[in-house]
Amino acid sequence: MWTAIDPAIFVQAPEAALANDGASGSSQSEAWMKCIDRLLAIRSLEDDWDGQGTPAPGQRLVESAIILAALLRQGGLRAPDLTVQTPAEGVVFDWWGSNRSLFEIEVSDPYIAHVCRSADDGDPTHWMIRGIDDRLVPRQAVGA
Amino acid sequence: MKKQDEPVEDDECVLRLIWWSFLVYDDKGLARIAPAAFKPKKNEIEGISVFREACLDSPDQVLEVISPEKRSLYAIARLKVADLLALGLSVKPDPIQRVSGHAVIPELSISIQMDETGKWTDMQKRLAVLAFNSLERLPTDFS
Repeated sequence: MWTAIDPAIFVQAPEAALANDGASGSSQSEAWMKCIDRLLAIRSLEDDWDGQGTPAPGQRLVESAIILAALLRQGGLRAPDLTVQTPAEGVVFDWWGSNRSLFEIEVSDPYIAHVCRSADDGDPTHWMIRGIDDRLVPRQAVGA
Repeated sequence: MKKQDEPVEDDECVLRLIWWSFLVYDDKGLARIAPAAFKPKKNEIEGISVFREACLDSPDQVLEVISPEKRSLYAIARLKVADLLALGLSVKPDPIQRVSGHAVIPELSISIQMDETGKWTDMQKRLAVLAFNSLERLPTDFS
């Protein structure tokens, strides 16, 4: 379980991923509801969802993504611009900003996520977060 | 038409199939392609799939690897091999039976990316930008 979230996510999140009117603002409430609806739809995917035989993300992984979404909202991020399953049977949350900047959190396994902050005008940074057992420590920062 | 086992040359183009939910729309229309469109599947040990256009009669031929009922849900992007090389990627022929010209991008394999998923997201973003600027076909259906 991730009962807390890596503070680095909120420190390193670009301006574009922060909720200006607070994550509880009405527009954000609606946007986060859409994100959760999308996650519920992903949870309902069947294997071969893409016509290429790709398995659907596992139930436990999607449940961990739903909990992560709740924690991200609680922490002050605005709702992602995109919530989608991946061909690698995971789930990604994407936020885009100006200059093609991207902030992405990819849940690759239950309670394991990879965070990447990327902009065209600098080196990307990335790190992995795990559930509370591993205490969510940033690692492998590139160009930080 | 080139034979599919010939080495890939710099002046070729490759085609990438893109599932509709990786296309992101805003009020003005198609806004971008999600980097997830370039993430490898768990069985893509050799790299993500592309198709050499020079080995095909038409771009739509690549849809033959998809279940017929889902072909209308795919976009097709055309990527210049020279652009891929400039990003530090490569294209390796990997013939399959169903469609001629199948190839892989070995640097984007699940085995390479498994432990460094975040590191490769930036590369996938760059590919998504290239693909957005060179879409050959959009999905004709959305579900």
